[in-house]
Amino acid sequence: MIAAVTWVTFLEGLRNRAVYGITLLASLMMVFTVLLSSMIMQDVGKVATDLALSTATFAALLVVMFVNINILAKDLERKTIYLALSRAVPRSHYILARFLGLGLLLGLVVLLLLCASLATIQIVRQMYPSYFGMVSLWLVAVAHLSIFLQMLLLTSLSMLFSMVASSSFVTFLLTIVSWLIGSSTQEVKRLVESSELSQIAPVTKMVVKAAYYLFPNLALFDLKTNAAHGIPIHLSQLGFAVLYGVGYATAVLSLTVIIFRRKELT
Amino acid sequence: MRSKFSFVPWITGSVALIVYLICLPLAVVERPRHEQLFALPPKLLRIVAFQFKEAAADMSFLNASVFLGGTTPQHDTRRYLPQQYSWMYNTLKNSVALDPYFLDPYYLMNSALIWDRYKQDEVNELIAKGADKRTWDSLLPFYAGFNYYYFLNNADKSFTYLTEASKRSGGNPFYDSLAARVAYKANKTEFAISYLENQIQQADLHGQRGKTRDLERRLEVLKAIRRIEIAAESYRKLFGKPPGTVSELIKSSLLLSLPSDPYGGSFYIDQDGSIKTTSNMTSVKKEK
Amino acid sequence: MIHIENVYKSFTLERRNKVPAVQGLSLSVARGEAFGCIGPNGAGKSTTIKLLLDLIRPDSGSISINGLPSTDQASRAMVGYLPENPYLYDYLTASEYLAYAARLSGLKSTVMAERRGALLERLKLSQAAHRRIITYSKGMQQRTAIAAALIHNPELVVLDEPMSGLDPLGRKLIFDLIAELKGQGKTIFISSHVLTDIERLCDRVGIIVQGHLSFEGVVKDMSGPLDDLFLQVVQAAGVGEVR
Repeated sequence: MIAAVTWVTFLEGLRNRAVYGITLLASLMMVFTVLLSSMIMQDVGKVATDLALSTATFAALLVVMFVNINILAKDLERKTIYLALSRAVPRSHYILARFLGLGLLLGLVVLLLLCASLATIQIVRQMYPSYFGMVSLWLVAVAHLSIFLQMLLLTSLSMLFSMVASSSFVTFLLTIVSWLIGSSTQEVKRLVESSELSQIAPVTKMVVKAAYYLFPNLALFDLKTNAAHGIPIHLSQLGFAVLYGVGYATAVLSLTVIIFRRKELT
Repeated sequence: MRSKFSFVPWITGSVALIVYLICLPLAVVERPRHEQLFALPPKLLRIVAFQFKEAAADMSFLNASVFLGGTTPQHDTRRYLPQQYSWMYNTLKNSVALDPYFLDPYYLMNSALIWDRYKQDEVNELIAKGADKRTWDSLLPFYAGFNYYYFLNNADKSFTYLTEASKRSGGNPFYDSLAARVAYKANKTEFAISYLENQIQQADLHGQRGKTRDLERRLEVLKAIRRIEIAAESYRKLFGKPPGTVSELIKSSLLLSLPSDPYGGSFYIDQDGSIKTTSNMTSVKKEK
Repeated sequence: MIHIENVYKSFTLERRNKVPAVQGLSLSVARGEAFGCIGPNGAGKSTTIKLLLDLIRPDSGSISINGLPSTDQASRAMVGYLPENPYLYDYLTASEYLAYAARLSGLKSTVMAERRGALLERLKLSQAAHRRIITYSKGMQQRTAIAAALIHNPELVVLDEPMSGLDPLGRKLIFDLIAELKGQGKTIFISSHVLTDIERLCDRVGIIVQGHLSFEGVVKDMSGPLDDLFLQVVQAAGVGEVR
């Protein structure tokens, strides 16, 4: 039963035209990466790596924003959800199954992006072997896994928002704002807590701290620098990030299920 | 009855397209050359770049690099304009603020700003911070160490960074020798001569012809200064007082010939007794 | 089979206006019976059906299917639902959609394949079965939705406006299908505006006006045509405007 919903979700994603647009965009950006790397004097490997990873982050983000959100939001808006709910499918199972399907789709996209990144980095390496630096391909793969986890987390948040938002556009806005806040929350907290700016009101500090705990700290999942310079990541650090991600996503999905159970589908 | 085929939309479409294509190149707005790519304070820039800090750093650096490649220094002073220095400084500062692990901006800062004596304190501090971040890199602590002694007269910091460079490079004897010179408060000109000779050697190894020429010119100036310094020291020992001008040294036959400055300036003795030249190489002027 | 007891449901629109949709509705449908539900637009027929399927929850009262409360998803295991519009996943083909519907009910793939083939044939969708639903006409979409409601061989079939969007050929098809289902002993709950079909197919009929069950009776016992009775009941209920 869950497998059926998961599979249909995955299929819907694959058949979505936006996926092809995003693939094209990512390919263009990889070509751009090779061109830009040629203009760098020393740290060629680093530039190729972090441009490739930036492309991967951006493309995965587009998939979440334009494909994942659409799937659940459309399901509710167009009432196609009636089929599943009029059968003996518990609402919690439905949410879980949808999430797994979206995760599968995201996983496939990130895997393709990984292949593209590795190809791009290898091309640049062939062109400028002596300037390549200490790029670690293994860490590039780990960085992609990290991107996958991050976007999975964002997907779970988008599912929560679609339960309470009045339209798919509102869900879109809430999700992108969450990503923006999540990406900057660590920096902002550091900035506010540093002794440099003395004229910060205590209220601001509280708000920043609240946002830090409420929104996911996505900086934990940004491993571009590690991959670009071969800076090793402690297993404990990685483990903690994974645990944090899983915990946060589970909490969000649980809340989603709680809200969904009570939701009236007129 | 067949409907009438109208050419009107085809004609208006073609004419409009032609007008557009003609006007497009003429309608380009000329951007002032010194427009900053990111005009925000570094900390704010980091926040606004979200997860694309490194890519933004790359773009900022490329902006500086392209600018440098396309701009020539003023013919008379052999320097760039003050606003050009300021622009480069800000652009490179933004670049390292966004990605402190990126090597190229530090490199450019060192060659374009430090030797042109622009904001040497601030720039070298950035290079030093870069050395702290890039823990595997021996080049940055080497640059920082050299600059601290030669330009900023900070022997302690210089020694710290040069020994760090040596440690990171697995005991490069050249870095060791420089560190030793700092420890013994060696003559700064000889210090710089040693540094330049090493740089020329490295450039030759990598086949960087253009760079070698620039470095050799600098080396020539410093060697000339050294000769004058040695003569001045002998003068002081002989006559009990330091010489006033370079011509005095020549008159007293302590300096055999007047060295020429490949940068076109003339050598003179400054109030504090140090030998300087009126040209770009050792210009007294400090740009703000 | 179906037992609706004293159910109240109102909706809160914007600006805090409470609109009563169902008021003190009580209704029962016995197993194997065909029940026709008619009423003016906005009377609460679709709302009643959605309450039955736990898509919305009653403010008070109880609803049960086969003894199980409507809030228990097990109550829907043997229910087939056709909503008032065919809400279909248009990126799937009819074949894929039916397979999905079957798997949702836990149908084994061999059984599913057999039933799917038979239903597609019966509903004249075999030709188009491998085209995406987005290319279907309105009638084809309606027929696909009906097939999905029946793929798992449900005991209770709930049809909300089954004839909408169908041409006369389609209507004949569905009419015969419903008659056949009835012959198989299935419980049928139809909400429709086509009163002649209700007359011919249903055992009992209920007229819902403004959220109440204003009339309930056995079709066989009726003296005149259903439309007359309908108009009578509606007028008696004092319905002012035509929604």
